[in-house]
Amino acid sequence: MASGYYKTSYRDDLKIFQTRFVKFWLVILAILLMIFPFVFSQYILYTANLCGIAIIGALGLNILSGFTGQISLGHAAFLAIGAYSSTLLTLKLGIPFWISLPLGGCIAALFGMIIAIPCLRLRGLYLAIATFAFAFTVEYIIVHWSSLTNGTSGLTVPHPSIAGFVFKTDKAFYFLILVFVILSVTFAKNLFRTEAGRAFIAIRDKDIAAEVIGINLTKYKILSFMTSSFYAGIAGGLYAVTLSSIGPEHFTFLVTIQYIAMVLVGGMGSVLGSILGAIFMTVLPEGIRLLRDVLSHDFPFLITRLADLQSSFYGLAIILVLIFEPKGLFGLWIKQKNYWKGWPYTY
Amino acid sequence: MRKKMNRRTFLKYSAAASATAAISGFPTILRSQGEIGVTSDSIKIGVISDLTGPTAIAGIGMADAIRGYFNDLNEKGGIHGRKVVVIVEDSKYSPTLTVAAAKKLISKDEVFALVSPWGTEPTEALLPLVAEQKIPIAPACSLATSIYEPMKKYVFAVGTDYVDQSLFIVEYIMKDLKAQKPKIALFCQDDDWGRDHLKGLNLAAKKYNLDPVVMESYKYDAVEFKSQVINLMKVKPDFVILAAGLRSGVLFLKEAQKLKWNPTFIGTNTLGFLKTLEMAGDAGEGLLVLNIFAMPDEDIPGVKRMIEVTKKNFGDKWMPANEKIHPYYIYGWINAIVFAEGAKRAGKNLTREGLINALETLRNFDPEGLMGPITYTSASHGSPGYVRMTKSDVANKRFIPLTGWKSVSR
Amino acid sequence: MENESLRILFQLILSGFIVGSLYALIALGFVLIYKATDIINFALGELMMFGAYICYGLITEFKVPFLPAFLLTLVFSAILGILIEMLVLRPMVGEPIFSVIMITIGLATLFRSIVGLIWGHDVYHFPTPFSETPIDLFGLSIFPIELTTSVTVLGLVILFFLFFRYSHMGIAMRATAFNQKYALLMGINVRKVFSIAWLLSTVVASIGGIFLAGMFFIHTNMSFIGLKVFPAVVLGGIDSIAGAMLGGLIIGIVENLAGGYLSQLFGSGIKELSAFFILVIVLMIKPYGLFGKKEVIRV
Repeated sequence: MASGYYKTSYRDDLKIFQTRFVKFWLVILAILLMIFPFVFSQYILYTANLCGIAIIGALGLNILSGFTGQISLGHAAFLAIGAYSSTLLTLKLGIPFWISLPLGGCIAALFGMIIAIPCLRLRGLYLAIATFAFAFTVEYIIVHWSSLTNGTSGLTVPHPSIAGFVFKTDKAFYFLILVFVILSVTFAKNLFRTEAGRAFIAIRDKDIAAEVIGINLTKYKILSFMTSSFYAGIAGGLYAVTLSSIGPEHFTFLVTIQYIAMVLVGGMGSVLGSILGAIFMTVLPEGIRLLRDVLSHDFPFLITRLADLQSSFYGLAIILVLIFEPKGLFGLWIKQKNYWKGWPYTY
Repeated sequence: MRKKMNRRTFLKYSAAASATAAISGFPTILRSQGEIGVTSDSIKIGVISDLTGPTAIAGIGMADAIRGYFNDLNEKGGIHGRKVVVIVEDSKYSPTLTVAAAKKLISKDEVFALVSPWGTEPTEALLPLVAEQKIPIAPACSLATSIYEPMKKYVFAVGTDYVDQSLFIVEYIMKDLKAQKPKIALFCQDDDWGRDHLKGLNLAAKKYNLDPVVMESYKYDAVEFKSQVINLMKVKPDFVILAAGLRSGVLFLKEAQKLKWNPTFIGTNTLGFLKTLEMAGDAGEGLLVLNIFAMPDEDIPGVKRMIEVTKKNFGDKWMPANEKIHPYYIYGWINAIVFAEGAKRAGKNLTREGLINALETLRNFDPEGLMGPITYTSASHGSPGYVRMTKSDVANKRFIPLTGWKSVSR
Repeated sequence: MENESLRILFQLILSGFIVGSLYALIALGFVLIYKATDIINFALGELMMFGAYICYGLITEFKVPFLPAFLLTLVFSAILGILIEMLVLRPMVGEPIFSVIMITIGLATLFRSIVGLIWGHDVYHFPTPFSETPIDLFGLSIFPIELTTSVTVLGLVILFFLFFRYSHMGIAMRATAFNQKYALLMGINVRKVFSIAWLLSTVVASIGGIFLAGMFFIHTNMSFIGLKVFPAVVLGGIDSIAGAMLGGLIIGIVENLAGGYLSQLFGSGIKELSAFFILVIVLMIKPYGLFGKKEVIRV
């Protein structure tokens, strides 16, 4: 693996992709990602699109919880705000998608700021409860302010069009989402090389100590909330157009739990972890469904019951990963990498 | 150093090349001839239902009814020699999961049509997809007006919608019970289902010059409904309409009984099954319930056949039929009947367009006596509704029909 | 007319008290664990439901009469509680709080799906020996089972209050919650403390579940009541037994009063919203609740 590489300048040290090995595989990945939609069926594309959206959302949550240590049970609310804002901006004000999506993200970030302020002094359980109360309130407002949100009937989201091209098929959405995933991942990876990013990590590790060494807790906590909500807002806006219709049941507390699961199972505090977790948690239910299809010929009674098995696998996966590898899938990845790095020497 | 890099690089490139080749070797085979989902000896249909979510009790029934119906039909030779293959997906009553399930059924399983997708909101979420993919929902499993009004080419609705049900209830109160300026209250769920009922009741109230209806609603996952009972009791209504699920409706009745409050309770089709009486006990005394489907203990051939087929396919799961078979089971069965009729009329050369044209030829089609007659035209894919009123017979645990099947006029 | 609105007011308060005692039970289960182990248990609703279904299964499948079934369920829950503590929570010692919360959520999902696999998602009538005839209480009506629940809850709260004040194990638990290291130094068997905390919590949850099922039918959605624990414990203080009970009762009463007087203005959601409204207000003015202790964090 990587050996025999040495750096001769500071510039080399600061590069994100340090070895030629990594750069090479990234190029291969890029090529594969490009070919992907032309090779696979619509159903797989749709799942991939959901993965992509989940990655963006999980990254956002990881920034807030994994890197800054702020427990948030309100993630679904920010997804909702992003989704509804960008949809309503397009529906009611005719704002084109390429403006309404980022605007939706900004509105979500604004709410992130609003919720961050009372949460500055809270930690642990109380912070969790406060964010949960926020999520609950947002859901209530969506359902009851029907003149704006159409309540439980939900909204039909118009197909986004950029420069005349209308995005209708899952293939088109794939590329749209891919762009945003690349942007989000790059931004997140870079974030933790900046002063703000390191401040986040300091807050997570021991916020009182961080304050003592001069980190402005207020500023950075709010910033963390805002960044996280922006990500969620973008994910929500993309979710809205991919599904072509949104309603309050798309943004329940269950969705927040799914995102927390993604972050935890993938690995808190790691960008790659969020990606792995998002993909794993989106694909797992589909995988079990395929398993059920295979088994249902022999065991037809499973057709209606196996779906419960799906959620039991889900719960079991969370429990097992957390017990046996608290650093999540990322931890597993690192362990494997380290193993192969030293192979065949096991010491 | 240079030499090692060369060999390494070569290995890298070849590994990468083979990996890319391997992955690209999963092409999707596009179907080439005939209609999607139809082969010379089979028709594939997709059924999306709530199997493990909040309304699973009803959803499982609907799915089982459809599977049982087609198992039986296949034994008798199928439709024009083709066997109907039913693929069931779980939607947990969620619109997102319904859309995902539909996409899977459409692109992976390549089904001919979607039959009876469960739930109003999930079905509404499917509408754009269905229009784009030109795949019929034949028919839908939702009693909301929005499913067929405005008309959608690919969507057919079955059953009397909620607004019509409410209109009939008020008509019954005024005409059959000859009430004088009655006060009406409504207990319903806090969503479109409830709102549709409120709309219908208020339309009727205006028509008969009654006071507007007082409504108390509940969230479907609420623990208890005590304050709603007290609130409606305050208003002293003569009639309380219960547009509620089994649990909420029965708990309402029990709480009212506890508070010694005795208006006339009228339940909508969701309370129209015998389990209601079993769980309500003597709080069910005097309960009137609206029927849109036949009851499982009725002595008509259609019902008897349904129960026989159910027993054969599912053993004791739905027995005793009186207690376990609920209106949504029957709804599924009727939907299967309608699809089969449409496919039959479309003829041997079965296409999606053909199915739609065939369904539009249904005039006063009788679904084996399980429901009022069904009529579709090229202008309307929603059939005019037929309802009847029944009364509870707590001692014998059954409902006694009070009226014949009546048609509702808007 | 005056009497009528007074009667309505008191009936609403009584209804709130009945539901509130259920909330108090869940809150009690929550505080028991938090007080002793500092763990936030998100699976209480599901544990309640699980207990209720076990009892239901014993009564309907195995034809066990109610009282023995009830006691058997408690024994089973006790064992379940210890097992959960040993197999699932102990490996999580030292992990970040987020992970612990998530693992309890994982447990909740698991329990819900196991119940779904075995019993399905139907609504069933839960057979109890209580009669269905309402009792007349100063002109207000209450079902016998409701009265029993409230009395039981009161009794349990007093019991636990005394337990934590005066018994060896109770004081040991409080010491462990305060600081595990010091407790260990004092010779307290911390592992035993944890096991007992979970045992007590699951037993309490099962009792709550059985009463809940008896009053409002048994079905898989009954676990949703678990969400109400948060307003209750925040109001009462997350580490206070008396606070848990009071918090639960107050939330129940406020909910019903809000439902009774405000629902025509704000729609039915006001019932649930009022509980969370209280939560937010408490967090803003008195974050540690009525009886909670202030947390001192050291660097």
